[in-house]
Amino acid sequence: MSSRRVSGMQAWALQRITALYLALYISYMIGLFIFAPPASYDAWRLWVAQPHVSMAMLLFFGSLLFHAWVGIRNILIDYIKPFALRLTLLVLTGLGLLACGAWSLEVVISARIV
Amino acid sequence: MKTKPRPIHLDLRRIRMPINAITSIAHRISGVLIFLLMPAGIFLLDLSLMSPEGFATAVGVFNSFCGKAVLLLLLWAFVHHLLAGLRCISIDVDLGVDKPVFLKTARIVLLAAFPIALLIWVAL
Repeated sequence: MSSRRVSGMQAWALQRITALYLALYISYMIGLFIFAPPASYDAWRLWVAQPHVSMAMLLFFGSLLFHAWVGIRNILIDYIKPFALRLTLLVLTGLGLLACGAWSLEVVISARIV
Repeated sequence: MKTKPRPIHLDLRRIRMPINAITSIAHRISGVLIFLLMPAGIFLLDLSLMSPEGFATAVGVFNSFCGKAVLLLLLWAFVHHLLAGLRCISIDVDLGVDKPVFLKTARIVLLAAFPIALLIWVAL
């Protein structure tokens, strides 16, 4: 069963790899906003539109969503016992995260257009 | 030999909470908080990149009282989550497993997160 395979060791490793990237990315962004905050809309937009910045941002959202999925899934499995409720919340979480993923993809890509 | 029945799931109302458990539950709470604030974050990013007016509105949100309060909460959640996560990883590799160190690091994470978040918040 493929769903059993992602539920153990892979999820554990995924959680740590994404955590590392999230820690570095968010720390970098905090540093940027403290020491060199974007001065204007144009500066901000041009900065985000650079290929490596867009790519790093997409990787950030991807990591964030995977990390959140593993974390929220663990929490729901630990605390929500009734199967129907647990399944409903898991499905809602998954759909919500997918929607956030699509949305963030759209935001980053449209910053590169025009 | 009869053993005590193990709990099948975690009953939050009956569980004992030493300091490491508080750090641990705060790790989860901070994670859920970040998860819940995610749509608002994407919304503000979208707004800030859409137009100069949107950018001004997003900056305005961060400068409002409410925005500042939520930002401080979010920074606490991030710093706590990061420190507690690093502690988890160090325990994964068998560092800080002995009880006195284990409890001490739990206390450090719990107590250090807010001052660090406050420092970042003031600097931003």
